[in-house]
Amino acid sequence: MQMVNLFHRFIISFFPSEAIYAHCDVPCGIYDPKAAQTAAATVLKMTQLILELDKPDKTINDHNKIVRCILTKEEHAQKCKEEILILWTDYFKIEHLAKFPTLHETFWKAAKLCSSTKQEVSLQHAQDLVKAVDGIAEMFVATKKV
Amino acid sequence: MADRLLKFLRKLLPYQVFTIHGKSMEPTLREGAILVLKKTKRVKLQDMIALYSPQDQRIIIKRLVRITESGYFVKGDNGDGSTDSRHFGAVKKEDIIGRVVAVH
Repeated sequence: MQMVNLFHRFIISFFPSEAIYAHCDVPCGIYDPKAAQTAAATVLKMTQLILELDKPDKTINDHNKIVRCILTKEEHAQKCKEEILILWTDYFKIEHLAKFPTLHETFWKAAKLCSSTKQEVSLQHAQDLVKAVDGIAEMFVATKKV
Repeated sequence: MADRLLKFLRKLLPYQVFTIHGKSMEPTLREGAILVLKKTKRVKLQDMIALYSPQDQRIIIKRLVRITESGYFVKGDNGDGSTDSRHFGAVKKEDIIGRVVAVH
C-alpha cells in the first residue's frame, strides 16, 4: 500500500495537473421548485391583503399598503414565472414526457396564471397558481427518484 | 529537449493528474483535491470516472451508478448540486477517459 501511495505521489509530481470539473448547477442555477412555490404563495398572500383593503373608507395608510402589496404581487408573479420557465426549459427533458404527458400544458397554464395574477386581483387565479406550481413541484420530486 | 522527452513519457504512461473545480462530488471530492486518473475504458459500478460532458465537452468527474443498453449512467455525489445523467442522459463508452485511482 505504501508503495502504491509513493507511486501515486510520483505520478502527481511528474504530471502537470489539469482542471477537471465537478460540474454543478450552482451558481449557474440550482434546480429547485421551492423558489417558485414561495413566489406563488407570496402572490396569494398579497392578493388576500389587497382584497381585505377593498373597502369604501380607505385611509392614506390603506392606500399605501395597497400600492406596496400590488408592487410585491407584481414582483413575485414575475419571479414565479422566471423560476418555472427555468425548470421547464432547463431541467425537464424529453424523456420526462413519457411519465408526465401533460407536462407542457401544466407549465403553460402556470405561466399564464403568473400573468393573470398580475393583471387582476383575483383570489381564484392566485389559488390556481399555487396549485399549479405545487403540481410542478410534485413532478420535479418524482423525477429525482432515480 | 528535456521538455519534449517529458511530454513523450507522460503520453506513454496511462495516468493523468487533475485538480477538482466545483462541488458536485462533495463530500467525496472537494474543490482543489488532486486526483490521479488511470486512462481506461474498463470501469465498474461505483467507480469515480472522468468523462467528456455531453453538454459542453469539458472533462467532468462523476460516479458510475448504472450501466444500461443506452450507455453509462453517472451521478454526482452531491445530490441536488450536480448536473449529470439525470439531466443529460446516459453517456457513451467513447466519452469515458478513465477512473480515479487516488485522491490527494
